[in-house]
Amino acid sequence: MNISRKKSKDTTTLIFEGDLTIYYVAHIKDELFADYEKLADKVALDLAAVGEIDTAGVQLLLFAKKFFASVHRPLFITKSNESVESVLTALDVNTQFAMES
Amino acid sequence: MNLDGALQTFFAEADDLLSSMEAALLRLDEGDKDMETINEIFRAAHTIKGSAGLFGLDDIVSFTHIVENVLDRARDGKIVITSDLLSIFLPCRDHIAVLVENARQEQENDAECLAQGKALLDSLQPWLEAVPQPAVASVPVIGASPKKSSGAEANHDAWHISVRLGPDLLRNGMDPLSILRFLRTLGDITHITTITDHLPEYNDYDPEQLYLGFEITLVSNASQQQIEDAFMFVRDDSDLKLIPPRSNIEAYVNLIKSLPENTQRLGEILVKSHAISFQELDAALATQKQQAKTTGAVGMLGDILIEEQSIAPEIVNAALDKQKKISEKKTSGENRFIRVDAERLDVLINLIGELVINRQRVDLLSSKMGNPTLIEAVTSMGNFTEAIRDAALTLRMVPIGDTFQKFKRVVRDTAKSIGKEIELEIEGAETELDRSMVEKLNDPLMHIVRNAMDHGIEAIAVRQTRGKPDSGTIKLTARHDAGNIVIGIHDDGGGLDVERIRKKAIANGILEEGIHLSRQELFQLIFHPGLSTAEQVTNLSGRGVGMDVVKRNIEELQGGIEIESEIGVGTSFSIRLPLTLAIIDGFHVTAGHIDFIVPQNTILECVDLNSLSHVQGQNCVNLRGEQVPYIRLREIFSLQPKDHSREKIVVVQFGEKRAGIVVDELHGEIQTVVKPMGPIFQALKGIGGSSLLGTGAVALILDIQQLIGFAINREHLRNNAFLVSAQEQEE
Amino acid sequence: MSKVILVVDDSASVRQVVGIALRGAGYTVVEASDGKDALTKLDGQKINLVISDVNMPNMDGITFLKEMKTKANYKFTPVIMLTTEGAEEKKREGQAAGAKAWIVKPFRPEQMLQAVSMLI
Repeated sequence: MNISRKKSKDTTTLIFEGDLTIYYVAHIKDELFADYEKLADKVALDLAAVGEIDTAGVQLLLFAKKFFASVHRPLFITKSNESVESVLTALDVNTQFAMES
Repeated sequence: MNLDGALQTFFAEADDLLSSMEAALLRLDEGDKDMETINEIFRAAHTIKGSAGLFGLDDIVSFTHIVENVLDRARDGKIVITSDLLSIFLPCRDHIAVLVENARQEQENDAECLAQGKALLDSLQPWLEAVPQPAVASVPVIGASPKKSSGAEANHDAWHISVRLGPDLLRNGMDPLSILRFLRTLGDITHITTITDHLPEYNDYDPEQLYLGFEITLVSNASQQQIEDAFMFVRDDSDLKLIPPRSNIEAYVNLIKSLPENTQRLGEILVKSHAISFQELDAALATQKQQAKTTGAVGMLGDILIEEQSIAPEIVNAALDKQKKISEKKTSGENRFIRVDAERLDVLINLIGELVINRQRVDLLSSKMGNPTLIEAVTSMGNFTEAIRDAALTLRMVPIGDTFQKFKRVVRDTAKSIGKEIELEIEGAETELDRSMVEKLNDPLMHIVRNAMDHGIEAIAVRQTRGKPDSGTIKLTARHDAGNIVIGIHDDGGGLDVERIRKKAIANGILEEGIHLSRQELFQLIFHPGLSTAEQVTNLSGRGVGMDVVKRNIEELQGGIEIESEIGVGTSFSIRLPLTLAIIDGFHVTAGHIDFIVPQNTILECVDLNSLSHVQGQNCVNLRGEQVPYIRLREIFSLQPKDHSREKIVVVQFGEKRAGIVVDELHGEIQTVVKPMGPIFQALKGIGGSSLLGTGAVALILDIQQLIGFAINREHLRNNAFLVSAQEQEE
Repeated sequence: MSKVILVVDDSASVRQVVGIALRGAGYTVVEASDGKDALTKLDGQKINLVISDVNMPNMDGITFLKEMKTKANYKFTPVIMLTTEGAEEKKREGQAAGAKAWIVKPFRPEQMLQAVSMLI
């Protein structure tokens, strides 16, 4: 799993590549929240290149949502793929990551 | 699910276990005090019981179960195995054997047999512990009696499932998503709320720990048991609550009160999931407040007994199915197998190999002595030796069909995952070959088949433009051919582009520009390690195993692989293998002072080298109009020439290729046991193994495929005036 | 790609039946005859689930499980343990080692398939 950052105007996009599963969540947590102060006002997630995702992965996303809200940065998913989408829908949490208008 | 084959394995296994059980019991009787002996008896009973259960052999299970319990107590040192107990155990073992035999014969256990079993179990009673039934923690079902329960309507209704999951589930490999997926097989999840209230602050958050819970509405006519079972493996660590369909409003209120989260929020969830209406909730909460804790009752719903209904048809079907099978089998006659350890078989075949060698020695001695009666006796013994050898080899022969069959599934699944339609056809499934070779064939076949699916068969759109049917075909074939088995993998895909292969080989520095190669040789380049990777790496075939490994695997089996392909029409691989590696019919020759063996099935003819006309300036002879390249064994192995020998040429063929091997003397046919070369000699080209002759001398078995390749290549290079050594030019 | 299940049992007939059932349901099955053998199958290939007997020669199921949990690639792999009722002590030991899913022998193939579908 690899996360790269891309900044544009008021949004930082975090691009995930690889599996978002229990095997990697500890590592992802370290990377995802490192120097979060440097992130822009809004945080976008690009999950198009995520392979497998399990409950541990979804939980990490839910935690990220909560964490970024606590530092006043809205978090939303801009890109994802079928496997991510189907899991988020199965848990009915997809709407929590919708972009705010 | 056809378990017939497995059932035979079970019977054979049970026989083994019962024998070792008997032996171990007798050892105990003789005073053996080793714990491992008791353990062995226990394990035998344990395994028989476990396997019998899989086949629904319930009489065996229930009887063996009690025996196992007593053995388990002995194993734990809770009871001592006295001679009294032993004298019950032995008949118990015999009784299990009877039950197994009855099952094998598909005979019902008659009353007498069952009574015997009962008597034995009764006599075990003193050694049994009164086992308390394990207390199964029942899931609290919150709800009063349903409002009404009029049959049909009650079948489609919504359960409410409330679950807070244990913190260690994820770490233990449990994924709640799998449980949800399973619930969906029971009905429709019309609503789900993921409870995230317990996610902690950053410093306390351990991403491998689970903090989530779910409120689920499941529309299903499954029984409570079935729904509970979905949580079977997480129940101990989780908090699970169920509300059956049509429960009173109090049930929901009680649920809300029993949950740790905020009352209002939970109420909203329930309203949102249409479990209850807002008014109902509001009113109920109000009344409850007044009545305080008077209605805390948690009642079971006695009339939810859908389980029985849903099980019944399955049982009936299974019973019918079984009856049908029994009658089928009785008409098809007996089918008995003896299961033999493969190692024992190998020992036998090795011994027979030695016998064959010794027979040759006796042959030699008897002809030296010249006694006609002896010679006759030895010849007749020789015939039997050969017959024994052939019979022994067939013991290890298995049909290739099973291996082929496995690919049906692979092809179906893979085709689906890459969006193609592919049919697998099988031909010659009954063709037999040595068991040890079947195992080693699996990987190369898998690779070629995957390759054919991935790169061979075109996408549907492409096929349509080429006027081919949407569905591609891969065909696996097997047939015997002159002591070999030929396995074919054919596809009707796009075919190999010879020009592209050539260009790529040149680009990758494998092939020099301007060298002429035959079509076959160009195709063979795809087995070159430098060519089989690169562009071809995809999800399917690019698993770090290239076509070069396929070729190596086949060569390790003394086989060869050839390719035929036409652009737009398809590709065929044919793998040619010897039927067995253990014993071969060979032809004994010498070159210099060294003995060699040429595998008999590769030999076309043997002639005097001088009787053939040579092609000017080349190591090539003219054999009835065909130019055949040759090599001298003396030359390639740097051997001293023998005096006055008239050189002979042995013309050999492998696949479609021919070459001559020039030797000093021909001795004749012998059977020989192949001993593989030690690791030090594995790199040695042209030699496939060694063997002992009747005289005790060592002979080297020639690797004909490599030698032919060598002879042909050399002539090519010569023709191309490329890398010709001065020495060779002299000839 | 189909999910891969490692089946560890010293009884060939159990492996055969479990194998038939699982393959029939579309899983890929890797077989091992005891814990030691099973460890050699953990060679980097993806294993989605392990089904293991407890009582086996050479290396029992619990020791195998403990060994497996030390391997980075497999430490979160779910395990179904096959056990006999009454083996409470073994079960406690196994649960402490992280085996939460237990199937009591004897079981019918359908029961096992159901259990598998709850886990992967």
